[in-house]
Amino acid sequence: MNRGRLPLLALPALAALLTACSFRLDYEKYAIVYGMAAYAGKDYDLSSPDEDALAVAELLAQEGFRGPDDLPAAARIDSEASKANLIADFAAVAARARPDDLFVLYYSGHGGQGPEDPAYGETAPGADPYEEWIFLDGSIVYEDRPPIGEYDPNDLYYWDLDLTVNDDQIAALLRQLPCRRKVVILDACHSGGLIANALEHDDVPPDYGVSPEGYLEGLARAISLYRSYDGVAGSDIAPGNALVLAAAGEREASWESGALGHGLFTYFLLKAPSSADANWDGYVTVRETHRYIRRQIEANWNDTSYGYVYDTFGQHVSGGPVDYVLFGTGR
Amino acid sequence: MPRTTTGAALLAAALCALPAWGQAAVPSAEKNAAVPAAAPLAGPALELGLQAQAAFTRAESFALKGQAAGAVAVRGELPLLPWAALGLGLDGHWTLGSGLEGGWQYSGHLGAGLRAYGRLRFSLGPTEGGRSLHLGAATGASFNYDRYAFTLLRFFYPGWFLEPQVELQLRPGGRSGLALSLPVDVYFRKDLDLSAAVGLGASWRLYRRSRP
Repeated sequence: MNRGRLPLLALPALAALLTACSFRLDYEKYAIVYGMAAYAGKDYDLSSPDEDALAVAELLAQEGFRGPDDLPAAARIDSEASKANLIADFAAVAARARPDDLFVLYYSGHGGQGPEDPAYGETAPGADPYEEWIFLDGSIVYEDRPPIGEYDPNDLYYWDLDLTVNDDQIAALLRQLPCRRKVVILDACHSGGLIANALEHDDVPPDYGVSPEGYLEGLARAISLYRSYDGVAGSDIAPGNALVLAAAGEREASWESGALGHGLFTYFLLKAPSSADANWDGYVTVRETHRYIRRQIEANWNDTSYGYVYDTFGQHVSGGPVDYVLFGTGR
Repeated sequence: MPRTTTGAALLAAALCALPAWGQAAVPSAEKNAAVPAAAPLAGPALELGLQAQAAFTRAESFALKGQAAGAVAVRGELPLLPWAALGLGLDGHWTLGSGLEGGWQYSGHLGAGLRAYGRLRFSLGPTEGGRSLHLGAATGASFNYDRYAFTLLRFFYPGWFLEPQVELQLRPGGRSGLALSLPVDVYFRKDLDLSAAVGLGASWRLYRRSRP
C-alpha cells in the first residue's frame, strides 16, 4: 500500500473516534431561579441567597438556559420571589417545553420542616410523615408589637402557610412540565427531606452528626425497601419526577459563609462546571455535581473548626437509574 | 509442658492430612500409574473467574442503552451426582455508565453479589493430548447490593443467570481446568423495564479428585 494513503485512511478513523466522545445536546434548557434573603422583620434575614440566585442564574445563562420568558435565565429575588410568581413561571415553562428538554429549578433561602399537614392532602400510609417547605416572599409574617420597657420581646413571627410552598406542591408543579429531565437544586435547611428515594439506602444520614448505619444494616434496609416498593409515588419528589440536589439533610441546617459571599452549597455549585467532571468525559452530570460539592464541604467545613463550632451538614441527591447532564464543559 | 506437646501433635496431624486433599492414598512411587492420564475432572471444586459483559438497560420513558460491565468471582461447588453439583459464589461487579446521547445516561454502579446455583456437567471424553473436556451449564439466583457511582446511595436487586460453559483439563491427570463461559444475566430491578447482560467469562477451577 502506498505510504501516503495511510494518513488519509487514519483521518476518518480519528474523526469517528473524536465524534464518539462528544454528543449533540439538541434540546432546550429552561431554568427558574429564586433567592430569598430579605424576610419580614429583622431576625430571619439571610446574607447570601440573593447573591446565590443571581450568580446561579448567570451561570445557567452561560450554559444556555432560558427563563420562563424565553430570555436568558435570570433570577427572581426577595419581593419577586413569591409563590404567585413561581406558579406563573412554571406555567410559562410548561407552555414552551418539550419532552426532550431539560429543566432546572434553583432555590436559595430558608427551608423548614414539620409534620404532614392534612390541609395539603391526605398522607398515604407509609409515606413520609414530615413535610418540608421553602419560604418565599411573604411567607414569614412579622408583627412589630410595642416593647415592654427596655426590652422588645413581644415581636411575633409566624408562617403564612398559604404563601409557603411545600414538598408536595413543588412535586405537583414539576409533574405539570412535559420535560422528562428535571433537576431541583435547593440551598436550604431540611432540603434533603424533599427527596423521595424509595429503593435506595443513603449512607449519608439525615443528620450528618449522627453515626451512619453499618454495611449490613444498610443491606437489610435496602432489601426491605426492595420488598416494599410498589412503584407508586408517595409524597416528596420521586426520581421519576425530578432529580434533587439538596444542600442539607432532612434533619439539619444548611450554612452560608459571609467570607465566601454565598451559601456553602451554592459556592461549590458555581465551581462545578469547571471542577466536577469526575470521569473527564467533558460533561458534568447531576451526580458528579453532588459528589464534588459533598467532598468540598466535607473538606472545607465539616472536617474543620467551622463544622465543630457551627454544625456539620451532609449533601443528598436523588436515587434512580438515570442521571442527567447538567453542565457541558465545552471540551 | 503438655500444651506444647499437644500443639505439636495437632500440627503434625494436620500436616500429615494435607496430602490427602485431591489424591488417593497411594504410595508416591505408584502415584502416576494409579491416576489415569485422561481422568476427568471431578469432585468438589473451587473456581476463580472473570467476566466481561455488555449490559442492556431500559427505564420507563427512556430509551434502551448499553453499558459495559464486569465481575470477578470466587465459587465453591459440591457434587450431588457425577454430572450435577450445587454451588455458592461471591463476586465483586461493576457496571459503567452508559453513553450520554440525549443529555442523560444510565448510571454506573458497583457492588458485591452472592450466587446460589446448580450445575450440570458432562464429559466429552479425552482430547488428543489426553486432557479431559467437559460441557456444562450453571443456572441460579444472584443477590446484589450495589452503590451508584458518584453517590453514597446503595440498593438491592436479585437476578437470575444462565452460564453455558466448556472446560478443558489443564494437563492430563491434573486437578485443575480452564473454563470458558457465555454468561447471561437477567436482573429484577423494580425501577427498570429491562436490565440484562450477556458476555464472556473465563475461570480456573481446582478439583478435589474423588477416590477411584
